Amino acid sequence: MGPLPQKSETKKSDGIEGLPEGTWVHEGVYLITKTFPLPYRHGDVLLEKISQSALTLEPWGVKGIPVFLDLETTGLAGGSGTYAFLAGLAYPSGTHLVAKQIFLATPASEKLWLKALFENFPGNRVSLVTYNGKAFDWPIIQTRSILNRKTLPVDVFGHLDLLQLVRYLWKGKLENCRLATVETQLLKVKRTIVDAPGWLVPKHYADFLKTGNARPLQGVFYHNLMDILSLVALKLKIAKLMRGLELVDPEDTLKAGELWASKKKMKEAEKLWKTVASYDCPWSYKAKLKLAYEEKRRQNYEEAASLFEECAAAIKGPILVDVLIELAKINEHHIKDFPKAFKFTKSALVILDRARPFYEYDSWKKLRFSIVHRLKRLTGKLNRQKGII
Amino acid sequence: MDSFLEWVKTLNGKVCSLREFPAQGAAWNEWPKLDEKLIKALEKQGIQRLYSHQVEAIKMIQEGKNVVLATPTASGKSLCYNIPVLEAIMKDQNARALFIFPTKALSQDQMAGLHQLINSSGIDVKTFTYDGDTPVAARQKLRAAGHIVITNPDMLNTGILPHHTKWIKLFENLKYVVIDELHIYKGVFGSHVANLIRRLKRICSFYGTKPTFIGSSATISNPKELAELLLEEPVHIITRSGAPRGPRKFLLYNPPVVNEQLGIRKSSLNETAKIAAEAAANNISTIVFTRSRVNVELLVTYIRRNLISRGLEPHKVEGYRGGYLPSERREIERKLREGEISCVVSTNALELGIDIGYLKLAILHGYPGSIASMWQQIGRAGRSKELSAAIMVASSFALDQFLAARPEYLFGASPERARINADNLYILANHVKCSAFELAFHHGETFGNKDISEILEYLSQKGTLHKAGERYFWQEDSFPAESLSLRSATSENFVIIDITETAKPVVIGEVDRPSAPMLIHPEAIYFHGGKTYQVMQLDYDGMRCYVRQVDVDYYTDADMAVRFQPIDILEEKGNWGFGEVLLASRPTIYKKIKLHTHENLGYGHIHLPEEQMHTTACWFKVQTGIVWEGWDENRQSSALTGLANLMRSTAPLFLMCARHDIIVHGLVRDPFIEGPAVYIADNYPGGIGLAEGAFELRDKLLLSAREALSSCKCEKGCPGCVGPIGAQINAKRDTAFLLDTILAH
Repeated sequence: MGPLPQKSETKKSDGIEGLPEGTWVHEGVYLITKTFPLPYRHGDVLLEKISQSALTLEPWGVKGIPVFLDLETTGLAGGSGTYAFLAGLAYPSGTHLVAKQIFLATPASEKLWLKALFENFPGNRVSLVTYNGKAFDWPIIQTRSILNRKTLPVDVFGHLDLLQLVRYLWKGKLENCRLATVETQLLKVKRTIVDAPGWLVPKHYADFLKTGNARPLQGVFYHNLMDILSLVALKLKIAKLMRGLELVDPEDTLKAGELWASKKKMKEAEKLWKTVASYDCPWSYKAKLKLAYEEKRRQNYEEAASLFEECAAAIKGPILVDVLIELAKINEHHIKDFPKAFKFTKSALVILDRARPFYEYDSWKKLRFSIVHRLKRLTGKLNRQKGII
Repeated sequence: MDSFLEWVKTLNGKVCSLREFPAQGAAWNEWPKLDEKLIKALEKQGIQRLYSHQVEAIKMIQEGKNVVLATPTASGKSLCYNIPVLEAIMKDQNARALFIFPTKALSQDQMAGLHQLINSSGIDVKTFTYDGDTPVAARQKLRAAGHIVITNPDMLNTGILPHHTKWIKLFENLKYVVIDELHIYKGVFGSHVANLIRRLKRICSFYGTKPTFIGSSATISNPKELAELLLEEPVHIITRSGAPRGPRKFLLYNPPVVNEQLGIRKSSLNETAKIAAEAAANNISTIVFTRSRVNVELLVTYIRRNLISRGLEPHKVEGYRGGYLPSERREIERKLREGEISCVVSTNALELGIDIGYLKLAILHGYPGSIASMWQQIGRAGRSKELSAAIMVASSFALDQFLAARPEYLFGASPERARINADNLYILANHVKCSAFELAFHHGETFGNKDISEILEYLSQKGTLHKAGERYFWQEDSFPAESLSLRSATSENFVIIDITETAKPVVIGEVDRPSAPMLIHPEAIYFHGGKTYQVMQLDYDGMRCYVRQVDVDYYTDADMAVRFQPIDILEEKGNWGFGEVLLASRPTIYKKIKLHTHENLGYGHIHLPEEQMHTTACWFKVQTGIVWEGWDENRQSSALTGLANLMRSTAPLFLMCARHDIIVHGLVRDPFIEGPAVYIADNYPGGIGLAEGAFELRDKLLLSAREALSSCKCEKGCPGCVGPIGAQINAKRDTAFLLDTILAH
């Protein structure tokens, strides 16, 4: 039998000083629990209805109750030599958000730390929400389990990696996609000076192992807690955007629609694109173009043609060539308006010749050849039509 | 072939020796106990029976014994491990095997042969090559599903061992580890690989497996000793081959003397090119080995010119060496196999068992530095029935001339002993770090058979490891295997970029960092694919070298200024000392040397930063005496340079290393010795025990140098003994005098 869990204040018998309030759950493993009554404000985001937002993001890996997870590790190198010493978990529980931090006070206790980590999951079938967790956090837990000869007692049946969505939605807009950047620029979270910057975390822990003084780790505990709260906030923000409830920037909404489309959820995608199309902004034509292609896919050629025509009136440059060719195709094959098809093909040729510097020579030549070919065919069809008349 | 060899004898130079090796018949044996399907597959490939050595190996391996095959080139060594490995997987679908080849090129080739056997047996065995070229997306699937993983030591070091938890299926079921070309793992590289195997075995034991090791080796004198040093386990060695061989002839050719007084011989490069061109003209499939990359390019140029002058197709000749891009190399291998080219000029890269088919003739431009390499290069030519031949063209190096004068040495001497020093602290400490990263060390745990408690204690004091509960945990935010290069001091390469067409720069090759100051200093002439380029700019920070194609009739040869600074003297005896040194070198000037005639056309200055290396060295204060004091500085310097040149050539024989493994240098006024001194240093950071060996063998080294000098037939010193020093000074007499003075003390 190991020592029974005991209440710790600021001092522990084995010489560790300065830990925040919590309990020793196993030898060398310390648990800090915090609860946040909902709704709770984090930066610009009001944390509430967390499980509901989870449903929105189901196609990206959330199934059932989400568990937010973030690790603090001895390094970023990966491989079997990097281990985690602090796991932050958060999950909704009734009217509260529960945050648990499981701390490893000596690497010798890692096996017990893993045990504590899994004991503190809110069930044995969970769905993870992480930031780069597919490549980093979760493989570390798998590796550490193998090294400690532990089979995973938890069935992770979903995993939403928010980094992948952030990259898709905001890559061009953000300076980089680090969580800290996302947090200040998108969530407007302001951290206090207690916060330990991420790159100093391994050093703080190594120092603690040497001295037994945990006070300098206060900043790391704070850092980890803020990270998991930001994960919750970020997920809510993305879910809102995906449901069309946050219409701050039409570009974001357009991309959110593309995300739906990538999961073949066309109804949701169209809803967002229609919203953007109704605005008077450069993005509205991009949205109309998306809608046009979608109508064409559904063989609603009249609708597709009118949307493409709207786009053709507003778009310039090489994309216009594609739009004109689409119009030519629809008019030739479906609406059977050959004079119109001829007119669009002809203007496509003019635009293509003007846009030549923007193309690789080979693809330009190929494209031009196909347009000229279409023009010839249409001329033939027009002549035949005239002949009949 | 016979008429060609007769032609060689009519050349102006001297055929010093001619050996003939009779044909050898085959020795067969009954099939060992094998799955019917496998025997059928082998028969389908035309293998009706196995040679005696193959049967012996397979039986031993099936009994779980470690086996190393040290039979000659092309004796069917790979079957000896392919058969038992495939059989084990047929019996147990979970069984796994790891194949380690020294280079990527070899592993790709090996995979082709293995696939053939798998396909014709129709069994479900998945093999895959895991190296830098494996697509990242495919890796995860391959880790779990592959029965046979083919890799190289470098990838094992950085890609597999540090990520062993991702390879759990492999390590939990690892039955065989195949190490091909074991003899490559000597010296520094071998010491690294020995430690890599310690790491591998530690991981296996964590997953509860104890694989059987199977190796193959070229002819060296101590394959069993080397294998047991590498594996730290008993090894059964098989040296007798049952494979048949056709008759072979071996000629040693010494180019003619063109200047009796100076002892200058006709260029061995020109003579080699002439012989190779004659062979190519007669459609004799030929491989030419030479010692440096520059020589490869020079030979390709010369042979092509020779063929053109006879109105023949010059592109039957290709170069093949380290600096070529991998795709270029694959293409050349293919052409050679398919007979599109009949002559290939190579550095020792082709010494390894790359499948280029059976060639008729091997030409060795100069002694390759070791008996083992020589036999392996000779072994490249060989047919099971027809006559094949090898010709070694002696270069002007003292060692070559020594061998030309006393060819019985080549045949009398047993091949070198391959040495490794797995406990070399520099190498050991780095691998202990990597191993600690992979799995925490327990207090008192050994690494292989080495007690490493002091290293662990040191690393934990340094904060690299954290000791907790009798275990040492990796604590640094770093990936130690990544900063550890197994091959040489540095894995960095300069990329050679051709900017002849300014708008369209093309990468044409690479040069490793240590060779860069000599080969690609600004204004140097760089040869690639038989074309000449001049270096326009060398970007040290970006590791780029910009060259432009030029049409010149000379090449460049750089001089290095070297200084030694002893840091820690470990031992002193009489005039000799041994210890750690800082070796600093900087290229100073380069000479322009005319192609073909090799006359000096002038020189230029080189401005490059100094390269530094910490290594071990031994040195001796040169005993001079009153006569020396009367010499002018020029004469003193030439005698000392002569001594250093002599020792540089002869010492590798006794230290059992290649010329490039050591650095020998004479200094007239050495600030540390406060007088004339000669240094012999390990050409590796941290040292690898060669200087230590030289310190032990010091008297023998001096005596053999004296003997080499006496046996040289020149009058006043020549490139064959004291080096190309110049006609004004009788360097031979002065060097002999200096050596005698030293030996008298």
